[in-house]
Amino acid sequence: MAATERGLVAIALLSFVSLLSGSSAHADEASGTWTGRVETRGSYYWERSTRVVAPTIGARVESPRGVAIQGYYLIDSITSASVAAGALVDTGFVEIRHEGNVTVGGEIDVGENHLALTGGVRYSHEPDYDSYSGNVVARLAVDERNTVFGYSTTVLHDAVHQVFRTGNQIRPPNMGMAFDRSFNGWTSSFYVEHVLNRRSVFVGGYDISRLAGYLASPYRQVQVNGSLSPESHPDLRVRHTLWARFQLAIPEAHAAFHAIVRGYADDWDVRAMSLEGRWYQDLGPYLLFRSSYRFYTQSNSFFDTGHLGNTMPTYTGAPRYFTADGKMQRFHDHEVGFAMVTKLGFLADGGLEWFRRMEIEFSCNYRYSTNRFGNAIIGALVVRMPID
Amino acid sequence: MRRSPSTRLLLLLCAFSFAGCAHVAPYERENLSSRTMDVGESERYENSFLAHVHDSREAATGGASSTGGGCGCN
Repeated sequence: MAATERGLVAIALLSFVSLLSGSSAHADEASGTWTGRVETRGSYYWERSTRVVAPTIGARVESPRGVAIQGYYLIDSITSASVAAGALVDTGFVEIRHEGNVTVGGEIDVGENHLALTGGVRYSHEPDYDSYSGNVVARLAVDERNTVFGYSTTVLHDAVHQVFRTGNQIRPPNMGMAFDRSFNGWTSSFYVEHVLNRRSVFVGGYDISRLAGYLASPYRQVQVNGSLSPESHPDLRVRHTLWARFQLAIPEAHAAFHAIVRGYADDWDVRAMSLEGRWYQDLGPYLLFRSSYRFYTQSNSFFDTGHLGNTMPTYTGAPRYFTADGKMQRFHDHEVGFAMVTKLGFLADGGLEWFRRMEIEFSCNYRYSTNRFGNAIIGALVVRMPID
Repeated sequence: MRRSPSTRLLLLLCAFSFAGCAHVAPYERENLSSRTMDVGESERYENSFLAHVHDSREAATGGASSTGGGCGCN
């Protein structure tokens, strides 16, 4: 990350913490207690060539003066035989990724309106990849919180290295000298959240992001005029996303329907759209059920051959850019899922008070995909515990 | 100007949504604060993980606080 970007993030965070520590006021101020919760999550991802197990612990606490601090730490254990992840031969290997995040925020009154400010930093490390990012979020709630205007900006710096993990662990001659590359990026998001009536809420927003630097994989290779070459992507990418979420409560059925739609376009000529519907069913004081369906479709990038399957793409002539990235091809996904959230308040009194306040969630998604990665299963087991 | 199907859908959703706008006082938000509607906090980490999964397998990003960076699966 450039020195100016690091400085901006640090200054923004310090400013917000100073501001919030002086003038926040919340209902908890009366009781003088800290509130919050701890969440432990075990996430699992399975597809043909990759398995990911990601245990996570996260916590959020709010001070009596309304300052909220939250953070998480996760470990990704990635088992893969994917060439894109550095396997030289068809043998599995395990890689560990660590990620941590901390955010601080709170709300101040601005006349009859309410301004919430949050700042955060995130760091991710794996043997061949480091990522640093910081973000600030501002939310202005007006008209008795019927409308909220939100803005957020994120800056990031990713450093890309290369580690060969299997086989003889020797760099293939055509991959060139060992390298240390990076890219910088920023994302700005604007959104409006509006209460439409006693039953429905609408949220709509626009995101723009710009990535500049090394945006290819250091491992994937392509056949160019009969010889192997590391893939080559443009070093600049500008991405636009327009999205909306509509939530409708159906109290007669103790349920709610949420619709999410997203349109995407970038200057690599990728156009994409996703549509998602979620049905939340309240099944009494201790049980909540959610089912969901998501459809995603995208076009290919301008430098994709259009024939990217399980075989290595082949380019001829003098192409400037070439890719073996499955995300650059035209494909679509269907994803169905469900989740069950159980509160343990039904447990009998007597020594079980601690467990009775606990919440357990199990979720599972199945994704059917026409891209080269194939179908996938995404599962999670979550335990939540309130703090007060 | 020719609009993409996703833009048309978004515009349609916006039009339907704002058609029934009304001021809702805090004491009238019982339905909106039910656990089937107020899911932002309880789904924070799940949405973050799913956004990460989708970012690593799809070209599109955004709309879920994701930034398109952060791991070697880009």
